[in-house]
Amino acid sequence: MSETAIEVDSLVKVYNEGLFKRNRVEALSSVSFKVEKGSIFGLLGPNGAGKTTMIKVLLGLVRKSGGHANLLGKPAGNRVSRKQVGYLPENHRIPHHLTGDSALFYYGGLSGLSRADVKRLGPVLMERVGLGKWGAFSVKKYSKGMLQRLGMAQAMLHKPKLLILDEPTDGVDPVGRNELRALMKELRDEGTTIFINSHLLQEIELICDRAAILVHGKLRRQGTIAEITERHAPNIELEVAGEEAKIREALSWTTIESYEPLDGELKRISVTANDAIATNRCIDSLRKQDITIVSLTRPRDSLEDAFINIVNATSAPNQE
Amino acid sequence: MRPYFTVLIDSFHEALASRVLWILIVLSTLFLLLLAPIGISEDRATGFNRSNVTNWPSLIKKLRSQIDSDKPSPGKHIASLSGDEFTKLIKGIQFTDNQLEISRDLIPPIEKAIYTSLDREDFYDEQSWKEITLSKEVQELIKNSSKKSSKDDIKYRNRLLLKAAYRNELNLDSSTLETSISYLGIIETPSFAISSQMLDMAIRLILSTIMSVFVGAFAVFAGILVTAPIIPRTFEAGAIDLLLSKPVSRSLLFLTKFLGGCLFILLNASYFITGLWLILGLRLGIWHHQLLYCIPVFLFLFAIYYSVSAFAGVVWKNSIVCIVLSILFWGLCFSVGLSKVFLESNFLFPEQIVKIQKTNDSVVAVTQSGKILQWEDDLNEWSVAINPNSGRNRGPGGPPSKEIVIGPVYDKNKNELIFIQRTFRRGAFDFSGGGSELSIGTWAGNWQKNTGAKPPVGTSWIYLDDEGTLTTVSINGISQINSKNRAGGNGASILGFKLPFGGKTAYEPLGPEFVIGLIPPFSAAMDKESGDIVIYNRAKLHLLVRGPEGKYTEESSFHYEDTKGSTALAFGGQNILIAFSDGKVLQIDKNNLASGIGKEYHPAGKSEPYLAACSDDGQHFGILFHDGTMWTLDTQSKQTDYLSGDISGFTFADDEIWVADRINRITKYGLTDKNKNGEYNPNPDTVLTIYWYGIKPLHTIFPKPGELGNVVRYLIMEKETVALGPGTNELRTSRESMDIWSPIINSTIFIVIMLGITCIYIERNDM
Repeated sequence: MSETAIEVDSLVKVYNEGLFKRNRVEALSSVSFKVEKGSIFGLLGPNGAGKTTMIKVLLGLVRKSGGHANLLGKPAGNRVSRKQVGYLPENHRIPHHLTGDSALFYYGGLSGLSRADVKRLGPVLMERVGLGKWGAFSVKKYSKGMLQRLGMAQAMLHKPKLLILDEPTDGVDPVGRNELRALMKELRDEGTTIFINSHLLQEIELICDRAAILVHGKLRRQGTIAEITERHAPNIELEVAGEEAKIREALSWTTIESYEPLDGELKRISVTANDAIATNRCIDSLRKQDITIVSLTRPRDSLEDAFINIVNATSAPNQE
Repeated sequence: MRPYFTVLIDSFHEALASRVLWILIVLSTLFLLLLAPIGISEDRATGFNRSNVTNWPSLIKKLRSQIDSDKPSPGKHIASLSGDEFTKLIKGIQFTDNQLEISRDLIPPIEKAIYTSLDREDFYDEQSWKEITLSKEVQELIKNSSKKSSKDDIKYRNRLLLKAAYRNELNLDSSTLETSISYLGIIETPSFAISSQMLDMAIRLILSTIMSVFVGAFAVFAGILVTAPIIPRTFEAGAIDLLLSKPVSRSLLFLTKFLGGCLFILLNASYFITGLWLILGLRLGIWHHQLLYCIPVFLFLFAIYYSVSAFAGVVWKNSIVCIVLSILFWGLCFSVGLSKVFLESNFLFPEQIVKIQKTNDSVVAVTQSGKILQWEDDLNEWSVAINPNSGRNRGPGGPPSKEIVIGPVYDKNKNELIFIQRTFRRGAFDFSGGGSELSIGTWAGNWQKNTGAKPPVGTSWIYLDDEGTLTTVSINGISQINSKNRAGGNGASILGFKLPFGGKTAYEPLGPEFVIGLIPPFSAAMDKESGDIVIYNRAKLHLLVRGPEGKYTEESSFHYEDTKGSTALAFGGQNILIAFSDGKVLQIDKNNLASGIGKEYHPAGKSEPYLAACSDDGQHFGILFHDGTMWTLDTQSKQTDYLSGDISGFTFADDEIWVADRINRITKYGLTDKNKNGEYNPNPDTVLTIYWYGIKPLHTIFPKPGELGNVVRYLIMEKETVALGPGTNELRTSRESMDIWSPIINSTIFIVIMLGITCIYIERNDM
């Protein structure tokens, strides 16, 4: 059994648009990533980055132009793998002649569930997404947030191994968002793999184990949230206690970017140290001069900073 | 299958959620509720009117001979009941050379006298009816007659007595009913006499119209309106993603949605048609089960339009586009169909060759509009030899003929064409000959039409022997005229005006002596070798054998029970071929005619026969059916065969069979090998070119939703052909053939192609 739920390798999707299909638009350009089973993976990207196209390729709604994509060990779009996938599309439309309950019967039936199964699972699920009292009402009366919750319920109904959620908290109020986040964490703990498409960075930051940033169809960065937000700046920040002259002497081999006296002998300095070797040398030099190192940190960006930096870097003319 | 079943159920729910569906159901219910209180009350017919007389000359002759005789008879008794005026009236009618001089003014008093006498209790007189065979029913009624008998019972008994006395002259069908229509049991129309057959036909006609208009047009269009959004809604962004993320096939999802849309029309049509069927059955006692077969036909009709709407829905995902495209598609089908019908009925069918006659030098052909054409070898075209309709304003090309040309027969010794043009009349007044005249075409560089000796009353068939003697078969029997006398006919005239009846006749009556009582239309065929004639009329086949002096006597006859309508007959050697209007063909040995037993064939399903003929040697027989099927039988080798093509006429000429098809082409085939020996194929004119290379191919490949109406008509009327104009029982009149299978096959192919294209589109494109 493979331990990856989603495996994407050099995936390419090209749309040919225009009257004679002569305009070539590359929506995905050699994208590769893996999603481990039982994790929450977030795909970040600005509007038009190719996030939804990625999901559509994974589900077989859109045909790939090149590369490989596997879903639960089967090629993307395979009907057997789709049996184990729950999907909540962005701006989904549930037919207006349905009620909350009948929508579950409809989508449950499409997933191969019997009416008895839906009767048993439906009410519990409706309760879980916060629509317990709304099952008998026509979806015409549902708000955007309620429709999202119903969308979540239909995606979870057949107990899928993989949940693919495209902007799941879109239109949901803050309390609802919090509830949905808690639900996603519960599902992850139950062993469900969750793949989230979102442009809400806070949401990704709060619940995702790993994430990837997609810009203009290209994957710019992926890893754990910590890895993504790690700043690749050359400085380290130190809080040290000792005489200023000794400190400066110990670090004479490098550049002190900033020097800030704090209370008593305590000082905060920022020193150029590109890598671990330079960091160790700093520590060794300071310790030789009997300087006490109170703390040492390499400063990080927030996810938002990282995201904006990546997007801006990609948008800069010399970067593309 | 569960996912697709779920989609199907959902389509049903979607349709049920539609307001238009409920509006339609309410409208259907209102219509059915309005219809439900209609009632038809039927009483046995007790009246008499002029339309009951089928042969006026024979009736008057019989009445007069009975009045003149001393013996008691029904005629004498009726005269005694009706007073001296009636006797005077009958005796006053003049006969000249066996022809009756009767004016229409005489009919009302005779009709009234007979009608009045039927009221009388003393209508039955044992002595007068002594020699008449009475049915068990009448005998029973006479036995039970008493003073307590109601007026209605007496009238009914007397009507049956009259029927028994004048079986060959009157058509007093015991199935005729006095019918009245009521509404809510309060409003009631005056009763009118109509045979149960006619009543059934009238109801079928009304049903056929209701089906075509209400269900065929209105319900299908409403169905398109309601179901148009189903596919676009399914395939719009946000909805299709959700569906296709489930483990379902794209094509099957589409096909299930399509099927779901069809459920809508099934629901509507079933509700309306079943309701109609129940009302007819429960209220009127008419259980037309065929009506229920219309449900799948309408479903099919809807599926044609819906396949177009569904394709548009998948591609453009817009309901308005679906509706507009469906309407445009309907318009296109309608235009192609209309263009074809317009060209056919106005330009092509009137020019279609229906009869062929080989002449000494060439060939002549009769068109459906009655024109006689001659083949011009040098020009490779047909030229009009005789146009019997010239001078009549019939519009472009003229509508299909309401007349039939009897003949032409060809006198090769005198190089003359002889034919009778007979106009049809409705009802029973065909006693005057219908203004028919014998025309003789003489060859003098071109064909000149002359009027010949006036043929006997009601002549329907003519035959010519090698000596040029013309034999006619008319309602009064068989007559003949030699080649000398046939040219000089003079009808009766008053003050220089020609009368349509009467006058001297040069035709020699050849019997048979007894009155067969022929009622038009009847069919006849002559064996050229022996001169014997077979006649089929009113379900009875008569073999009339020519004696040494040329007189005809009936040798045998057989009554075919349970047969309706006319037949086409061919007679040659020992064999008689009789083609019934239900498509059945019987090959009978003339010696076994009385047994009625023969070999049965069904060469063209239920299609009505148009023409039957046999070769001069009596070996080869051919029957042409109204659907264009041409069937041949070799009586020696017992081989049967079909000639392909849309055949409109044929004839046997020497050892060949000549067949007319493609409007004006004649092809000659060898009789035994069926090899093509030559053809008369004129250069096509502009109209024909447009038809063959434009309209016809387009019409062939296009679906024919409009023509599915024919299927409905066929199901309700149970007839494959419909006569154009009057003379509906005469098989020789032009008929509109209802092509039942072609629109079904064609439309099925179209639906399959449309659904196939849509599935390919769905499978190949990103959603």
